Amino acid sequence: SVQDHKRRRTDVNTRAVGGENEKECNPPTPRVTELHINSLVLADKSPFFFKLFSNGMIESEQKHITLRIKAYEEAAVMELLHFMYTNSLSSVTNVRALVRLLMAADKFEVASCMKYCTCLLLT
Amino acid sequence: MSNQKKRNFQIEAFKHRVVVDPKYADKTWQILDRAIHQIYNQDASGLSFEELYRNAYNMVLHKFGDKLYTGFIATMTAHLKDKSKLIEAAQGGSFLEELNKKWNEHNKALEMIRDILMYMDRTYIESTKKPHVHPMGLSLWRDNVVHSPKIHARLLNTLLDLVHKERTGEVIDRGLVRNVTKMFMDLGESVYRDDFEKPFLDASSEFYKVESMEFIEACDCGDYLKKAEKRLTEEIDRVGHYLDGKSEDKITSVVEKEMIANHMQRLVHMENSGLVTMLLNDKYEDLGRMYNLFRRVTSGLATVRDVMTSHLREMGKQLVTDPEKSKDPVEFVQRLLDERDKYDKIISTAFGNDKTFQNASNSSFEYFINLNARSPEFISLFVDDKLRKGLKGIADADVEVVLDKVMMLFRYLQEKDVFEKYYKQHLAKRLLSGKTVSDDAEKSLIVKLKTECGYQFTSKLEGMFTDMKTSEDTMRGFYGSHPELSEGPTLIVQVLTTGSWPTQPAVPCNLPAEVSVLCEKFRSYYLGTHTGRRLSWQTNMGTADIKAIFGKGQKHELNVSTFQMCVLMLFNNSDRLSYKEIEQATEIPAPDLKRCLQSLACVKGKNVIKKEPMSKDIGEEDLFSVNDKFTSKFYKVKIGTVVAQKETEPEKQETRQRVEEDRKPQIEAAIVRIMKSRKILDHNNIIAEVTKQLQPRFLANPTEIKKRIESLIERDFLERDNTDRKLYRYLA
Repeated sequence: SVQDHKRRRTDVNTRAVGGENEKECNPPTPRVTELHINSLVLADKSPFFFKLFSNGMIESEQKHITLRIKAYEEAAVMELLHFMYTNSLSSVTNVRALVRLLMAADKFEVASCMKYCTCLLLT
Repeated sequence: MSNQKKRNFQIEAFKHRVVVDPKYADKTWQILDRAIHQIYNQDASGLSFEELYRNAYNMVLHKFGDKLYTGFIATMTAHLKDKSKLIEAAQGGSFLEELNKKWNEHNKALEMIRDILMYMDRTYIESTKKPHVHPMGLSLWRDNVVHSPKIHARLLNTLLDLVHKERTGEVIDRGLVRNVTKMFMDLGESVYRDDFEKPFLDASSEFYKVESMEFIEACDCGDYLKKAEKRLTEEIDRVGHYLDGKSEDKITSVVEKEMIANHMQRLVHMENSGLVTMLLNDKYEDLGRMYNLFRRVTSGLATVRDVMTSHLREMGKQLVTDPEKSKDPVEFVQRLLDERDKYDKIISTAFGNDKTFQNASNSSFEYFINLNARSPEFISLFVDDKLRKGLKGIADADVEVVLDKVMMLFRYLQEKDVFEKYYKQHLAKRLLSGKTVSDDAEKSLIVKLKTECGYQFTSKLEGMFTDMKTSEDTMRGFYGSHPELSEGPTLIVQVLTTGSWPTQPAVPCNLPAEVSVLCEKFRSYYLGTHTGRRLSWQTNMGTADIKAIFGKGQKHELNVSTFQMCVLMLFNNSDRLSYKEIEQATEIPAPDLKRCLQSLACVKGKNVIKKEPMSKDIGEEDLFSVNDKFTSKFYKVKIGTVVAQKETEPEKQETRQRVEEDRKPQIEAAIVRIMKSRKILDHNNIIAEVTKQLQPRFLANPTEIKKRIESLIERDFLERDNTDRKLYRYLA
């Protein structure tokens, strides 16, 4: 059905952040969080997701896509996903979290969220 | 402020993960570099977008944007150099296909590369103001492929060759050419212009230069124009099929210049097929084609117009100055109308009702109609002919059409006052002889003349109609008061107001006794009812219906002029009369009498009198008697005629003189009007102003104006300036 096409499962594969000596080539075992997302919603809000789902590389064919992020990014990414669905924030209140959210929004080019965070930070 | 809750902001430095691995950037770039290779090898479906994007993102984030940017340029350049070699290696026809294929591949790859470098495109490039990934990719293609020495000229020649093939009738792969020209456009308008369009236009110009020379040697004008039109449509189609829209104006102007502008004079003047031939033979289609093609080039229409004008003037000049053709005034005018209709149709069907052509045609007609001084008279005669007989059985709407056309000719006349003079004379004759066919048509023409000439002129004509009406009433009154007159001859009098009617010197004659008795009775009746008036008989303008019985008892009713009646009545008392006797008895002036006798004795079928000797002309010694053998299949016989005819030379001179006389007061009035408003004016200016003011009526003769000025000075309307004798001053 159409809905099947729209629904994809995205694993947010969070890598725990180690100390300063952490090395790319020798990562600690990643923690995996599985989420069901609507690709249309995400593609609409973010050029990154749009290309991810459609530009002809391996993810375009996958139902099960893995997004690797740092552990410290996890909360911000979750909040970003929430924002993409609702256009509002769920829990972020402090400046630090807002800055992290802004970083995540910038990374995936979620313009609406970037604008929202910038406004909040400037008040 | 103080009441507000004070918030503490603690801004923490955001901690990036510090990269310590010195090879981090190289390793990351290698992943991306490999991916770009894979993308170019069309093997991208196995790549992870997430991973590549993340790596590019991290490089930018960790200040390796510059490395990423230069790296992508270097990798892409190397690839395009390889592609370029492959394209160069393609043989013959496959060259363009190969180029097109590689171009499509490059575009696809470029898009993917842009996707994975999306973050760099948005942040690093934005802040360093470097070219974005996509335009950079196009520039690299341009520099490394299109402009590579072994491709550049070959590509252009291949394209020009294909265009040439198509022009000479071969079928080419238009889609392929379209893709390539589209590539030029994608690379930038200047690339399209410099690398393709300019050489294309040069080659086209050369092609059409040669072709037009071949055509003009081999074809007549009509065929040449057809071919040129076809070429023009082909080029416009070509633009639609595989060139950029902006090239249309440029390529059409090349064709226009080479095929039309460069050969204009030769085309219009081409013997037996040029413009004049087309005009003569009503070649609407060819003329229309010429108009539409010549319109495209500078001074094209002026060329067509000039040739048409000079032809029209020459043709018209011959038409109006040929003495053979001006013998019959009605035919003369009909020919002019036919020519006008012809050119009207040409201008409306072939020349798109172009105002400038209409003006050219009008000015040509004006030019040549006025070459013949008798045109005003002839036009009036034409109207006279139509209003006497020509309009019978024609619908009202058609009558209007004919009259409107005549008014067009009237407008061309420079001497409108001459026309008016004749028109008045002819109308008078029509009314008096009761020959006018349609009152509506007469009135309609008067309305038209009113708009053209003004109330002044038509008020007199309307006065003529009023006189006719009043006369009917007068006649009823006359016979009412003289019931005894119901027996015997009937006299019908038309009382004409002096001034409204054309003045003609009253020609006296001796009326037969029966008639003159009646005339006296009428005179006393009329003067009895209208005191203070004077009546004089205009016998030269009258007609009479008389009953005659010939030798074997044939009865006829003869329709004759008053003069003719006077002559015929003499034969009631004598069988045989000499010219001298007739002249003595009637006292008709010799020229009128001769004409009158001629029409009674010398016209076949209408010769109610016999003349001895039999000859065409009337001699002073001739003898006349009733022609007893006269026969006619009609009961009513119309003899001679008071119908307006072309004037004889002396009559013409006379009318001319009268016109000149009438002009004098008009010129004087104009001078006074102008001087009254200007007070002081020099000689040349006053001549110019008077001429201008009188132009709608006639062309004033400068010598005459000068004479009028002198006359006005004598009568103290004007004076000469004491110091400058060329200056006139108005005296109030």
